[in-house]
Amino acid sequence: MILGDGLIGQMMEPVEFPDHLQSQPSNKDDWATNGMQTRGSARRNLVKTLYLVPEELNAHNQKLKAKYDRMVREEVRCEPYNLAGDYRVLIVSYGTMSRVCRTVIDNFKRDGVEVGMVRPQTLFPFPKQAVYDAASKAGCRAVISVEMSMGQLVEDVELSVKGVAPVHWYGKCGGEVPTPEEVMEAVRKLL
Amino acid sequence: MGKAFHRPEALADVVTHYCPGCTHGVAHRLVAEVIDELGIRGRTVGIAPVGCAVLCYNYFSFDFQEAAHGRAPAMATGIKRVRPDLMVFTYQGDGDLASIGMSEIIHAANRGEKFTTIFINNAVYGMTGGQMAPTTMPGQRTTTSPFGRKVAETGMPVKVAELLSALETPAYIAREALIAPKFINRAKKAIRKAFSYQAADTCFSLVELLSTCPTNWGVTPVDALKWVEEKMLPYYPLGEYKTPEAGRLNPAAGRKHAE
Repeated sequence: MILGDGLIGQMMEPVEFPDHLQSQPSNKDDWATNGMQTRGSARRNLVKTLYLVPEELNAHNQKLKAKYDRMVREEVRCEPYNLAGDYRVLIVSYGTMSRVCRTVIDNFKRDGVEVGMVRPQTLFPFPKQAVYDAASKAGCRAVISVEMSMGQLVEDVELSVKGVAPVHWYGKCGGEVPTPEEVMEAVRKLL
Repeated sequence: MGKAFHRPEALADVVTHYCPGCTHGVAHRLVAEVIDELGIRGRTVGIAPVGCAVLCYNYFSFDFQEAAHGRAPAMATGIKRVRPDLMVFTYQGDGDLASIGMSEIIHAANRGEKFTTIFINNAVYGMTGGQMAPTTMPGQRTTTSPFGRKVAETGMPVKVAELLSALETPAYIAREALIAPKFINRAKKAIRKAFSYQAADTCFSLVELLSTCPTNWGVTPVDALKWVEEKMLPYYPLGEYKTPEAGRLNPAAGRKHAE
C-alpha cells in the first residue's frame, strides 16, 4: 500500500523492475490452477476465498491474521528525521507534505528550535511503535499530523500515540500545498 | 450389456445446493459431458461467478477459481493469455455477466479472448433474493418489481447473444434453452461447439442458456419450464448468432426455435 497524494499521483518517471520480481514460486503446483495434466496430479486445485461454514471461515481468518502479524514484524517501514536529539514537537507526515516538513524542521533548527519527524512509508501495518516511541521521548510536548488532506492520517497517529502527548492536525487539500511558513506557524503554536 | 448412463468424470459425485427444478444442474452436466468427450479435463480451468453458481467449483472435478463479481472474463483472460494451452471457461449468471460484469464481457468478447463463456439467463437475480435483472421480462414480478417490470421505467430486457454477436470479433455466439430433452440436446451441441472452437484456437465463444428459477419466480418446477417456453423463447430466440464459418446469423428471422 503506497501512501499517495495528488502530486505523487501525477508524477511519472521510468521504472526498472529488478529481475528477482520475475521469479516463479517454487511451490506453484500446490495451489495454482495450471491444469491437472501440467502438474501430473489427480488432485484439482481451487483458488477461492469464499468460506460459508463459520469454522472454515474462522480458520481462514486466523491464517490471514497470522500473515498480517508477520507483516507487522517484518514489513513496517518509516523514516525518522531529526529524532536523535531532543525535540519539543513531533511531526508525523508522509509523501510530498513530509518533504515540506523537512524544510520546516531545518528552518527551526537554524533558529535553535528542535522539531522531529516520523515519516510513515507503510500505512498498513502502520509504524505504531515508532510513532509511540518518538512521542514518548522526554521533552516532546505535542504531536502534529501534517497532511494534504482533512485528517486521513491523524486518527492513526492518535491510536499510535496512545495519549502520551496531545495530537494536533494541520492540513490543506484540493491540491494546495502548505508552504513551510504556514506549517511553521502551526507548529509554533505548540512550542 | 454396457452401462448406458453414468456420471461424467468431470462432474463431482456430490449433492448440489441448487433448489429443486433449477437448471444449473443440467448446465453443469452438459459442460462436464463435453469436457469428458473432448478429453480436456486435465487441462481445463473454470472461473466461477458470484451468484448461486459461485459454488459450482464444488460440483466439477478440475481446476477452478473464484473471481470478483462480474470479473470472471478478466480472470479468464489472464489465465488463457499466460497458458494458451489450457482450456478456460467462465460460468456466469445474468446478474454477474449482464449487470455488474457487462463491461467485462463486452470487452473480453471484443478483444477476441480465446476462452468460452457459459451464460445462464434465468431472468432474475437468484442468490440475492429474486431481484430484477437486466434480463427480467416485461411485466415479470420480482422482489424489486413487485408490480411487474415496467418497460417505460427500466427499458426492455438485454439480449446478450444479440448484443455480443453485433461485435465483429467474437467467433461463436449461440443461445439455447434447458427446458426439455430436445432443447437440452441442442444446448449440448452448442456447448461442444464452443469448447471445440476454443480447442482449435479460435477466439471468443459464448453459449447463453435460458434457465429456470422456480424459487424466485414463485412457481413449481414444471410451471417454470412452461414459463421459459411461453414467455422467454419468443423474446430470446434460440440458435446460432455467430459462427466462424458463416459469420453473423439471424435466428429470429431464419428458423423456429423448436425445429
